[in-house]
Amino acid sequence: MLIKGLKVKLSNKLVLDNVTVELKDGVNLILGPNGSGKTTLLRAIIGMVKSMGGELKVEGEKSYVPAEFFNAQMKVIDVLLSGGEGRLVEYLSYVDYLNLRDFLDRDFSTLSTGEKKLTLIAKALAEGDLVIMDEPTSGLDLRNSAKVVKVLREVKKTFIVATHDLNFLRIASWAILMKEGRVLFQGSPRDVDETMLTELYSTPVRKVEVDGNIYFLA
Amino acid sequence: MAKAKAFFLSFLFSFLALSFLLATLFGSVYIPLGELFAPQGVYKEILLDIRLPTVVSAALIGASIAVSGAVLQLLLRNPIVDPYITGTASGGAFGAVLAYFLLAFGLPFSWVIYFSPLVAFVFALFSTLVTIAIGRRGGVYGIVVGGVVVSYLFSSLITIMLVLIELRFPQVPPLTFWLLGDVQVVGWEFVVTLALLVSILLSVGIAQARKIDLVSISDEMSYARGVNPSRFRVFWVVMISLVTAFIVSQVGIVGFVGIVVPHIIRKFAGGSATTLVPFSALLGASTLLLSNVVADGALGVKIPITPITAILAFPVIVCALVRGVANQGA
Repeated sequence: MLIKGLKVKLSNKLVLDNVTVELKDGVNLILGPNGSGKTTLLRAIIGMVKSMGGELKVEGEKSYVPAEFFNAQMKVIDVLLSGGEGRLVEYLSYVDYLNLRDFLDRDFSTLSTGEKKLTLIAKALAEGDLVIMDEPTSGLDLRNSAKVVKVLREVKKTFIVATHDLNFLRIASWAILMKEGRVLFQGSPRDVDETMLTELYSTPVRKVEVDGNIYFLA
Repeated sequence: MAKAKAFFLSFLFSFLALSFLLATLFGSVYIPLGELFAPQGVYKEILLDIRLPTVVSAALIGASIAVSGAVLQLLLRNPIVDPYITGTASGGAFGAVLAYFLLAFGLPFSWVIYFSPLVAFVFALFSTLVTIAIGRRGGVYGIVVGGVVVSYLFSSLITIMLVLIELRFPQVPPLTFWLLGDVQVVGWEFVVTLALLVSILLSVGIAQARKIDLVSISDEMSYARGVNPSRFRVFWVVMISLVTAFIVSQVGIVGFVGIVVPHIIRKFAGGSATTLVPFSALLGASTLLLSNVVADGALGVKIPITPITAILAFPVIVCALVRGVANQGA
């Protein structure tokens, strides 16, 4: 899949400046500091913001896990079923996969931040083959973050994930580094190094190896 | 869970039947129970030409305002809006009163009757869009404050116009009472049109309930599923303005039913549009029927209906403000 020459202007500021990215199967990671255009890129993919020129060659049914959403006062089951004519059966495998069965009859607004996020993730997994996630682990505790990582590792779908968590590099199949509306680097996550990340975030980033796993520390 | 819902639904239906019966019996004239099934003489005339059209109208108006409130609350992500708060009703009332100025152009009085819903619609739509535009910048309270400001503007304009109308066209009946809601319908013409509008509102609301839920949760999620949430909101605002304007131009402003009713339903049956829309229609109809019993002279004097619904709404709105909205951290 290919996104070519996206140009997006929001209130007279060029937020995406000629962004061309390739997308691979598996987890496509978008990294970058606040205001680098990550969310705008995701929104351009679903048609929420219009690009001046360029083209989107994106296949498959899209679904989206937003960074922010309304604290709807409705049952979890109604949140899952919202927007479609689908029946609950189509959601149950992912509901069970994320251990949400006991929440189905609970009021969505009374769930914890992590439980709400997992609900929206279960919905997105059931509805799309191209699952777009905007900061899926922000505000989540270690256990729930681990669940999100497990989803990205195990579920066989194409993911586009914008995040600040550099540890996602370990499970990604493709990495896109964005800064000030431009693509700084894209390629295999193995090729992402300290210098690149230091430049990306304008702050020193260190790479350490523990038990054969690579970790990045700011 | 489904059992509790079915129980609640049957309760709402019985409550509606009871309200309907009470509203048919009581009013400015009491119709004895015996006359209900075989009405004769003056009772027959009152029952068929005034009481029944009034009662059916009240039920339909209550249903449509409650449904409008429920849908607006979801789409605008704000638990304390309804067509009254969003300025829709005030704008509509302004348009309806403005239509009377057509008398100045020598148009016959009967034309005004047909023209006023149209002018009302234009201004209802305009005022709602202004309120939403203000609310976009101000969040949950922005829309309420915007609505208050817009309502205030149009109420002021209405007051000025009423003074002018009274001076220049003494033949026009006083409109002050009507402005605060006067559900008194003679004949069936209005009822038929209203029934048509309400059934469209209700059936589209039920058919699109899942979509309404989605748009209420997230714009991004809506776009990803091929629903343009902005266009969807505009569609609903136009439809609600149309129905509200038609109602306002005939019976004046009926406030607060649209806030109270969905709030109660949300408490007992959850806030998904799949239940909120149909259940609000039932409870909204009952609420307005009972309010109209009081308004239509059960206390020995006719009172406009909005003061009554406002008193009913007060505790519920305070409760929503203190608990509901505060809890959402908005």
